Amino acid sequence: MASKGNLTLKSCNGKEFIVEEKVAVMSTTIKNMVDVDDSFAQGVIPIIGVDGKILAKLIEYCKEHAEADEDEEVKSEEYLKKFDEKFVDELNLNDLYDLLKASNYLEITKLLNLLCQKVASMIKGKKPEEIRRIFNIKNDFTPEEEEEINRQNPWAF
Amino acid sequence: MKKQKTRSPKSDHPYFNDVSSSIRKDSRHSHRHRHRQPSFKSEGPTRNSTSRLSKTHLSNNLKRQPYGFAWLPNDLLLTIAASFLPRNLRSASLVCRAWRDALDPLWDGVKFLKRGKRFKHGRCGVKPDLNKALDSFLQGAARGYTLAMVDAGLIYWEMGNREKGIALYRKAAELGDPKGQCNLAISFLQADPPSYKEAVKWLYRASFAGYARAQYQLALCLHQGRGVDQNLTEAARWYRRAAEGGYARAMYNTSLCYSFGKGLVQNDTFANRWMMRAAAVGHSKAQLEHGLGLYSEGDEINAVVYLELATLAGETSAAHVKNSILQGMSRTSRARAMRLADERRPLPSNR
Repeated sequence: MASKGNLTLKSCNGKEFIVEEKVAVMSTTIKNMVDVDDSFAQGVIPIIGVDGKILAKLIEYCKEHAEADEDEEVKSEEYLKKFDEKFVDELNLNDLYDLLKASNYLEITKLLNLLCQKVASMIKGKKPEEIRRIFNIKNDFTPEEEEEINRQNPWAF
Repeated sequence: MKKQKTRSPKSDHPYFNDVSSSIRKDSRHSHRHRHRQPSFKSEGPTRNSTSRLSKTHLSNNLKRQPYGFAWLPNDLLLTIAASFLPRNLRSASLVCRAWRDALDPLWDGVKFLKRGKRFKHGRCGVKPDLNKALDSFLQGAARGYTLAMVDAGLIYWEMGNREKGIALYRKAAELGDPKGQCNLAISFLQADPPSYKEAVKWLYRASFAGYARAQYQLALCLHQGRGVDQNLTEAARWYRRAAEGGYARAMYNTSLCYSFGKGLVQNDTFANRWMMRAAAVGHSKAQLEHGLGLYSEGDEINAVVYLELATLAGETSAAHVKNSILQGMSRTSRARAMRLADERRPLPSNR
């Protein structure tokens, strides 16, 4: 049982995390649950489809940013930028994918934007085969289809 | 949203409508018959073998769903690629079928953006028509393409409908478009009363993304202590980054920082170098300063060239100095200097 002002989040593989409410409600999904049903605020909130490792990562991110939102003077933009960079750089491909899906499902907008920007930066300026290699994607096009796409958009600006 | 297939007349080809096509492994042999099979909506193919899934994702109950970046939900992929230039969009579309299909709305966005630009500037035999341009940009914006949002916002802004403009800038900004972030920030700076803090927050985001115009605006805020504590070292750092990104006014300020040792270690060589660059991309005050510098070094001909450029750009004090230098020159040198000035066209700058 979490003390007042704290919430307990439970991952899909049974790991429990006690976090401050202001950290947990960075997730709009959790915020809505707590707002609608008071029993969630006392009991355990199950986070469906998110395992303990990913949930720990989510909480690490939300903690840092919830504190920053509360007191802008303490954590500068530069500091948060460095934290964000380190946070995404330490993710392997599976973590990145799992976090993307989880932050989308939990509606943690700030994190979702950060992760989308990270993926975008991994795509920009690269050739299709490089992108496939980075994201471990199989080429399922026929040569004719590739030709077709190239023909459709021949211009650039 | 209903999927629109306007990429080309060819998109009626059965191939493009077959959502389920990526399930089959023997694509190269069976694709002729594929369209006969009923297509169904699915997030992605389900696999016969779960070996790959179980290895990476045993403990997760998402494991029943297809796993991996090829099967990113469409809305996420559209967010990721919302601010892509066409060349990046094309590379992403060539990665796999699922990505190609998911990115289709953005290609429509690109088309509407191009169409809007033709109407805005009256290119390709089209008469300029601001309303048609706005309509096209809005269509592109509705497809989730941030470049179209920014252009639509700009037209609203210029028409005096600031609120609608800001709403579009904000949408683009939130999707990670640096230009949208910068324009949104500038609208905060120009608001009455201005919200400097909010502006600085967005300027940081666009600056980190490498957008020179935002870096210059951020440097100004740091320089003047607006929305953030005054910090000359940081200001100079962002001036220099914007200067390196080709922004003329930032080049001029970088030169001043070096010249007076404000925020950067005093260095006349660097100061002169940035002044010259700013002059070369058409910054009128820099042309005046650089012209005076050349004169003091004894290079009268080039001094006259830059002073003439500065005069043309509206620096009246440049004209006086130029005329007094010309009076002291021989007739041939004078003619040569004026010819050089005529030939001289400023280099492009992205200011």
